[in-house]
Amino acid sequence: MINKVIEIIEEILTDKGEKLDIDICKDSQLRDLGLSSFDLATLTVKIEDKFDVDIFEDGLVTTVGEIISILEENV
Amino acid sequence: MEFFWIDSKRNLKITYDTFFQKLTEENNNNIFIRNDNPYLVFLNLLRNFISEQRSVLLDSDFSKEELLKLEISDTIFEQEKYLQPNLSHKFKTLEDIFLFLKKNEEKLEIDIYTSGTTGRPKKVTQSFKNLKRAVIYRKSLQDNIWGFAYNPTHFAGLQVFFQSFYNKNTLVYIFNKDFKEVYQDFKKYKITHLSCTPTFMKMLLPHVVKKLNKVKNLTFGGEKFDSRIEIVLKDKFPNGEVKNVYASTEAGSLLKAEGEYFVIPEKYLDFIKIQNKEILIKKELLGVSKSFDLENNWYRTGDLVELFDNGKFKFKNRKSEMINVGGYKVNPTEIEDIIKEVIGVVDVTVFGRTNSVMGEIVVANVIKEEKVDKEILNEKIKEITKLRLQEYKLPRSIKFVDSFELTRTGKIKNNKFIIKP
Repeated sequence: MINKVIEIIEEILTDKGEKLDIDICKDSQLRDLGLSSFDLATLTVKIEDKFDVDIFEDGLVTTVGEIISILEENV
Repeated sequence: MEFFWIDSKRNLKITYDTFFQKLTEENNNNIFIRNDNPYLVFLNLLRNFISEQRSVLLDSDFSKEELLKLEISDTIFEQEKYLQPNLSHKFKTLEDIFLFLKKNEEKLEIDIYTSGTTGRPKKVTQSFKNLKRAVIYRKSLQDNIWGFAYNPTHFAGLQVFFQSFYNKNTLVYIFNKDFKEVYQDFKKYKITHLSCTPTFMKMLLPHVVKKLNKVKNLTFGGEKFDSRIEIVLKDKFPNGEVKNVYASTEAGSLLKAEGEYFVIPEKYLDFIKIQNKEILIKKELLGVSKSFDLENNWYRTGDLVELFDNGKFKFKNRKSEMINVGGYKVNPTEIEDIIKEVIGVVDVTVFGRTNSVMGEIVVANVIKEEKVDKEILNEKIKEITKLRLQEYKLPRSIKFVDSFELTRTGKIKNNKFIIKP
């Protein structure tokens, strides 16, 4: 699951034309990865399409690990 | 030293004395204002005012294509320049400028563009009087320090600007920057007032590490208030009084509410009404535009409300198909027209999908030619939309479908995410 989430984040960053020079892991802060509010919105849509879970439903998520926890609870 | 404008990203710290000097000195001005430095937008705008020139405000990130839709060519920025003479003999102090603005408030005008409902953005001409209708100035407000969190060329941005300028407050520009730095700006410059969209606040909240006790006032506008953030808001801004405003490019600032519930104030009882749960505004409160469709002098806003006792109401979704992306209104037709140009696209429908980060986001369902590769077409659509549209208008999801479902009336039914009136 974590690989799929990282893949989605990488896809969003690549679409923005950003270089993928940081390794994304569970502790990565979403904002440190350079994700704007538009990108976070895109992230929710892509995850919702894939796993049918709205990761931001109960408020804001700040790390990759938190996304994984929410998905593990709901998928 | 009283600061007028602080923008740490651009290394700008402008005092009121400097600003006054810049306003009155001889210099070139643009009638059509398009600048990515918000300080220069406001400088140019006020210089136009005191030179009794009109202003046309344009987003700095409009593409050539978007400008053409507004019937504005690239060359106009050079053509419509004029030289403002030195006005320092006419205006000796900032107070003279305030007096001049007061005297001429009905004459001074700004053109703003708003996403039209018929596929064409509409131009709305607002008098300065209308623009500053909601501005309050009094002595007790003179120490306010504002966080500026809107696009300067949009109505809400102009509101915050004039509210702050009239009270000679400091404006700290915190829009379009890293939210960690926004939080630092709050602490460093002791911001007391903030007006922003609920989306902006949702993005800022995770970065507010320690309580921001200095903040006295939080005003939200542009989209429906998200009550999920209320508890966190009270915790992080313990002294922040929360207000919601209802404003539109067509009519300016109209209603203010403590919390989520609005009422029509007495002075507007003859000018604002609710019919079939929709807000209607009378002609007298509107700016001037050829695109207004009036019914017996009433303008249908498309904004729907839920009614409660004692004339109280709460905003619901919009009746029209306009998509509200974090406070920005997007016209789906504009995006569909561009996607339809891509070779391999048979048809497309663009609509808003509910999103927990931005309220709504733009998504597209596409019917493609059978032989065309999905991946390649997807890339092509992303490329063309990115090139020709502002960031908030970009589809965040593109799906390939075999057909669009039709409703009984023959209209295209989007899917389960459609916002129903």
